Order: sequence, then C-alpha cells, then structure tokens
Amino acid sequence: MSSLSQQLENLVLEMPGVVAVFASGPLIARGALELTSGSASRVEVSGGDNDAYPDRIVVSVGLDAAAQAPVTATAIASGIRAALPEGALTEIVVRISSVTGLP
Amino acid sequence: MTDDANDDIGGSGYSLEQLGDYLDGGRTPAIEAIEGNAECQAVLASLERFGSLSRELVSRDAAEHTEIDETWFSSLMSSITREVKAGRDIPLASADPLTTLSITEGAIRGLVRAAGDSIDGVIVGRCALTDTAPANSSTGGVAVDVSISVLLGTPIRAAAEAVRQAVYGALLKHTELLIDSVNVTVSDVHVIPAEGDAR
Repeated sequence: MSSLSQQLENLVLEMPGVVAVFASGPLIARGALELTSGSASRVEVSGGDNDAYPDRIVVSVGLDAAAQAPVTATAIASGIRAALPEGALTEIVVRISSVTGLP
Repeated sequence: MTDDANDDIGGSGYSLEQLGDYLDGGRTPAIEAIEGNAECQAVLASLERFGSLSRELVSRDAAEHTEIDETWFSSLMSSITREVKAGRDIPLASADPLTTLSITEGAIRGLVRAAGDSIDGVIVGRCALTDTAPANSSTGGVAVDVSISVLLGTPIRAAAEAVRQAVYGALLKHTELLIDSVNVTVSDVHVIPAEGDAR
C-alpha cells in the first residue's frame, strides 16, 4: 500500500487550499503501521487485494482559510477518486482537521 | 499550569509546555510527531496568534504587573488544549455515496477561536458548540458560545459585535452547520504592558 498512499499524499498536498496532511491515527498507531507496512505516508490506505483497489482511503487535512472547506473536501475526494482505476469501489473519507490562516 | 494544560496533545507525546518551547525554537529541527498532528498544529496556531502577549505574561517583568492575571493565562491554555481535541466528525454533504466528508469539532472550535482572535484587541477565552436540535431530530442547529477578553480601551460593544460577525462568517464559509445563535460574552478586560513599563 505504501506507493499508493504516498502518491495520494503528494496529490492531496498539491491541491489548492491544502496546507497539511495529518496522520489519521495517533502517533503510536502510526508507528506500528509504518513498521508493518513500511509506509511513512499520512494517508491511510487499507484493505483490498492489491494497491490499485483498496477498500478504504482516509485522509485528514489542514486547509487554508481562503479555501472553502466543503468545496475543498469535495475536490480532494474527487482527486483521489480520479487517481484510482475506474470502477474501484473504494470508500473515501476526507476529514478536515484544521482551518488556519484567517485574515 | 493545570493538569489539562500539561496533557499529551493529540497523542503526539508532547505537552503544551513542550509545544511552547518548540515554537520558541523556531520549529526547527522539525518534529514529525508535531508537524503531522492536527491538534498540535491547532495549539501552535493559537500560541502564535497571541505569542507576543503570552511572552509578556510569562516573563518575570510582566509578572510584576498587577493587571496581568497568570491564572487567566493558565485557564486560557487549558481551554485551548481542551478545545483542539478532534472530537466528533461533523458531516459535510457529499453527492457520492462512497465518499464521506467531514470537518472535526476541534477544527470548528479552532476556527471560532481564530475568527474571534482576528478582531483587534480581542482574545478568545473559551468557545463551545452546543447542539440545539431536539432529541431524535436529524436536522437542527448549533449554538455557539464565545467568551472574550477585551483590551482595555477597546469599545466593548463594537468588539463583541465584530467577533459575532467574524465567527458567523467563518462558520458559514467552512461548515454546513445550521447556526442558531452566536453568543459573545465579554468576561474579562486585559492590559498589555507597554514596552519598558515593567522595567
């Protein structure tokens, strides 16, 4: 799963309004995940038979206040969906964990 | 500092005090457990916003000022560490049944705090979101309660109204909450010592 999650983290970070991608779980859980999967990505990719068709993708992001959170969340989900093979029945969870930079 | 304020922030392994030190050190070298943690980032953002004031408050010189209440500062820090906890995921609408979008309660509280702090002369002390929906109702709003401290000399009514509008505007832009009310209570007046005052 490591290459897909890293690819998705890079993709999300490049989206307008996204200033950070946060770890979905606490530090200890993430450390364990890194040990077992070898992935240092903050995007959680789980389940499925292979890297291209995961069951679930969870991303927690920090946004800049200039971007509208609901619109940006939708754009992130669409971007992730577009990165998956057509027809993949992957559940995508986008969580806005912070909005910073209010004027 | 209270016990709350010394708690591990967001499972990062770092306390509020350590985050303060990290901020003072220019956030270098970058610590992944802090930079990759939303709750730590929210605390750092709050600390940065009133960094100059906090430095005044914790300095020995400032402590000599009778106007400065360290208990208030500790209470503020406790509020912040409590409020940044992610809490519930508040849903955002999605047209795709396989997609779940949400914004955390902690992010919303952070937004409320930042909106209030953005008003000149205002420091947000505490903010709370309360469901106003009747039990078993799928729709319903929230009441937002914000307590603020106002810089001595700032027109209080105007400051409170500006906070109310800023909070309402921020919630309208970033959430899909039905906002029943934004209640602002001025609970304190603060003084920032002029440079050299304490010497």
